[in-house]
Amino acid sequence: MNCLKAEEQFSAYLEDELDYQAVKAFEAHLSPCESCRREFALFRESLDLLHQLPQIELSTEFDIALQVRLADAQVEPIPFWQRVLRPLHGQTRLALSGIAVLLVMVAGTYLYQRALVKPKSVEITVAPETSRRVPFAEGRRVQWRRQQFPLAVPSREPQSLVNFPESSAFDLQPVRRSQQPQRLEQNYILQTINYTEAPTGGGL
Amino acid sequence: MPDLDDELMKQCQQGDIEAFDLIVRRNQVPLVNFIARFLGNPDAAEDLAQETFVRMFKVIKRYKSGAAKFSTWMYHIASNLCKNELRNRGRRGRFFVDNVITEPSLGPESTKEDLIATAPADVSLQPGNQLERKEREHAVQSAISELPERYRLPLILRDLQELSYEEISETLILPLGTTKSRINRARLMLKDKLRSFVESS
Repeated sequence: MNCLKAEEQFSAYLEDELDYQAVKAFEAHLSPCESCRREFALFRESLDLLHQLPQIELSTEFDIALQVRLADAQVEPIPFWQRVLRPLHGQTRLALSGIAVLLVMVAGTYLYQRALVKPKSVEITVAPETSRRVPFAEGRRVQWRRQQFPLAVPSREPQSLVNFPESSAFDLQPVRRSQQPQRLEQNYILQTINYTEAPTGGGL
Repeated sequence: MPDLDDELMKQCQQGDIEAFDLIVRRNQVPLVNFIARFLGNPDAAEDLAQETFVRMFKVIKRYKSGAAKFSTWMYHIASNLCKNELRNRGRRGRFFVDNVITEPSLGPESTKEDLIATAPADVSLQPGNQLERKEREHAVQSAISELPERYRLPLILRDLQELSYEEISETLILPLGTTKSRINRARLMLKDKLRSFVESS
């Protein structure tokens, strides 16, 4: 046993918590080790000092102050809605409660209806390729969606035209830009939402 | 042997308010002493002890009889309140030794003549002894207050409140081995802090 190990067993030795072998080992170390003997004596003395600390007495106000605090703790906190409704008279309170219930019912029905009315089927119509603008259909909800389709590839004007000899068997004419087929950069899809099949859900 | 506090708590849970009053009377002095020694401030200790009793009263339904000793439960609540108090203060507990000695006639600036004038007949309370006692108490309390919180709590519970290692282990929710080694470490630290006082006296 070294000094550090002996120090770890100071409390256990004092409180008689070591077994026989451990006690023998502890005493065998302490008896020749003057430093440990001195430290152990100091350990005991400081513990004696700690145990001699006087008891702190209570002040005379302790009991009264505690009774007041305990009485406060016994009072249950009043819920918010009770604090609001308590000052009102019977009929007013009843009327306000009725209005509140009615409002909740109306709001609930409205939200229920709104959740039910959803488009069931969507009819998709492809717009004419050449036209960029399609007049809105009256009475219908029209939605435009930009699409990047492969057919919408912009064409470039040729840098130079090939000049064939006049005697060529091919009677080719340079293609003018105005004669090129008109191509669109993008197409539009007209979505017409058909409300005829949407469920009404009943009610309002 | 049945724990009387435990029996009283059972009665209190059944609505007997007077049983709680008895619990307070039985435990108020040890509780105030525990908090005062931990915080190093007896004035704050009374306030915190009252707060502990109020907290116990509010959560009385949660007390499980037989699950742990009543003292374990009480010191657990008090320990948490003490830790919160120290955290809120943002500084370590300070000790006001003049408030601890409860002789009202002796102020902090009492001279030896004052002490002689108020000296009681008992030899142990002679002025010289009182000064010595006051000095000793100051040294010990200062040493306790200088200990880190994790060592101070088990030391006070063991050496001043005289709880068993098992009870301390339950109170602080620590393994038994850790509790024992922490208490021994705390005592070693206390020994080092009191070295100069012991050697000089």
